[in-house]
Amino acid sequence: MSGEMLFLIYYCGMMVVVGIWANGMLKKEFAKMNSALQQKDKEGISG
Amino acid sequence: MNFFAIGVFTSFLIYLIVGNYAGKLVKNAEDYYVVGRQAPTVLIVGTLVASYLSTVAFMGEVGFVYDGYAIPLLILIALNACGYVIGAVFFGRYLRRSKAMTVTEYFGDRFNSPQLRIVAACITIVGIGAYLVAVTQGASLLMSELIGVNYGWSLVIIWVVYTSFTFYSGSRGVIITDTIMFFIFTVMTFIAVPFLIKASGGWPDAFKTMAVFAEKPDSYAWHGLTGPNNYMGTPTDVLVWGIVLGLVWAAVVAVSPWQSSRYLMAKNEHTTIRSSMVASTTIFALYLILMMTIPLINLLNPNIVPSENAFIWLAMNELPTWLGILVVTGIFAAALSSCSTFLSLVGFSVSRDLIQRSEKLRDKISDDKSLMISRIVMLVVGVVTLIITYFQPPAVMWIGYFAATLFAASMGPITFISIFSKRVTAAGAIWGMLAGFIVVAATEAMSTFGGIAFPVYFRPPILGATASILAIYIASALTKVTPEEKAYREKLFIVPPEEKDPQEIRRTMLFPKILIFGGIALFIIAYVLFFWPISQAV
Repeated sequence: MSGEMLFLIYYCGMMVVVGIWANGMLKKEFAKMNSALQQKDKEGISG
Repeated sequence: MNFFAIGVFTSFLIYLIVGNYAGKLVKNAEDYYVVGRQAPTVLIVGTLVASYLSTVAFMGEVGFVYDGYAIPLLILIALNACGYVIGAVFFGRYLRRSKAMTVTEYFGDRFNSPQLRIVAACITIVGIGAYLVAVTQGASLLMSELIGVNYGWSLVIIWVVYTSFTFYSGSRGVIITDTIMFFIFTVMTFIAVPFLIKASGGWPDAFKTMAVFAEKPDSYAWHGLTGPNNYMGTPTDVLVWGIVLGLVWAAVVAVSPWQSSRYLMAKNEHTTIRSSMVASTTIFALYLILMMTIPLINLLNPNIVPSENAFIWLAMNELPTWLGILVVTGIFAAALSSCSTFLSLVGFSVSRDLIQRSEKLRDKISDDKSLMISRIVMLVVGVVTLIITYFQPPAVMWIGYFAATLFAASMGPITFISIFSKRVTAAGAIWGMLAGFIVVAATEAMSTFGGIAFPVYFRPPILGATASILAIYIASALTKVTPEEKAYREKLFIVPPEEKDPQEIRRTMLFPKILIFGGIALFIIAYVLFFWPISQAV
């Protein structure tokens, strides 16, 4: 494979990798936020 | 006056009208500094990209690519563009949560230290002030060539345009005009590309011819032109140069005040995250499409001197008049958008972080008076900038590069550490900023004035960042975290209730997919448009 093709894979691959990383990281954070909210709701109902 | 000048002056008039209208909407100091924290995604994307791209991109970097370094520049850009997402995720949203008016105010509050705020304000004023001088000079030289008047008058015209709406409307006017300018230069780029391909022989022949162009035979090679008579020595030097500077610029877009301060105006943290991803995608796409096409200008004229004028030469000589006007207007838009953002940031720092720093003083004066003081200070800062720019010898682009690396080294480490370290103290932050600033300033001066060549692995920003990190850890180890510092940091990790709206979360989760699918789409487009014809020729 030529250096130019490797470059194209690196350039566009960076976009894909950053997107996948951000997607996973945000999913995890929002899920944590949701479970904290549900926990609060439960405590509210039982209280 | 020629058609190009008429087009440019018409765009100036639009910015003045819009800026004046935005100024009338400013009701208080919060409006003036951070647009009442109500800016939607489109305005944050507009101001992020517009304040980043200036004459450095459309003249300096275009010239570098015209000279034979398309892929080396793009190696740098791939890392640089990721800085947006990293900056928003690890700093931008916490910065917005701090409710500070300026980035330097955040540092002062985070460490409960007025001294740190003054140090950060001084670095901001010197660094961004220098960048403002360099970009104003670039725009003034361009204006001087366009309408044929001397440099002094061109400088006054450029200065009047951006200062008039910046001082009156503050951030509100700056982000609206930035967004208009962002659309102008983005649209002109994507329209100019097919016209350039057609003018230089059409697709795919133009790329095949350029790939083996005798005068610059390696223009499309991954390492560009290397060897004794070129900028770069060996392909390895090119790779290291691209990666090192790519990381430096990633830090710049992640933490420099002229980028991260944009998040202070965002409507909410979702807007911060979304705009960072759209800005990143825009930079990836705009640079790849533009910079892979620019080498074709060589087929029309391989002897443009200085090469920084390549895009302007193309606009004035080879493109249809209407498109040429759009391109020249777009280049001015890129310059003015950076100037207005830089002026506003320097003005805000002088006004908010130095003059109106004390809460006691702010409590004593009314909001109207505070707004008036801010406007007067902005105008005075503008006049001082005009005087310095007039007497500073023109074409000192190294000032721009110096300012960028200054922020990467002095503010980069402490910015992330201030969020994620429990042990860092005010002393660590002050010494970290000072060490980064002093080492970069000293090594850049040795390199520029003393002719000392630093190896590519030990460039001034790397030395500065290392000194900054060491100073932060040593000074923090010798001092203790105060209860106020601890409490402020803990407050930054409390997610505001309005950020937990499930509908907003669902919408935000769509944005990383723009990057993922954008990357795949860009691969296919770039392969078909550029890399397939190039591979056929070599």
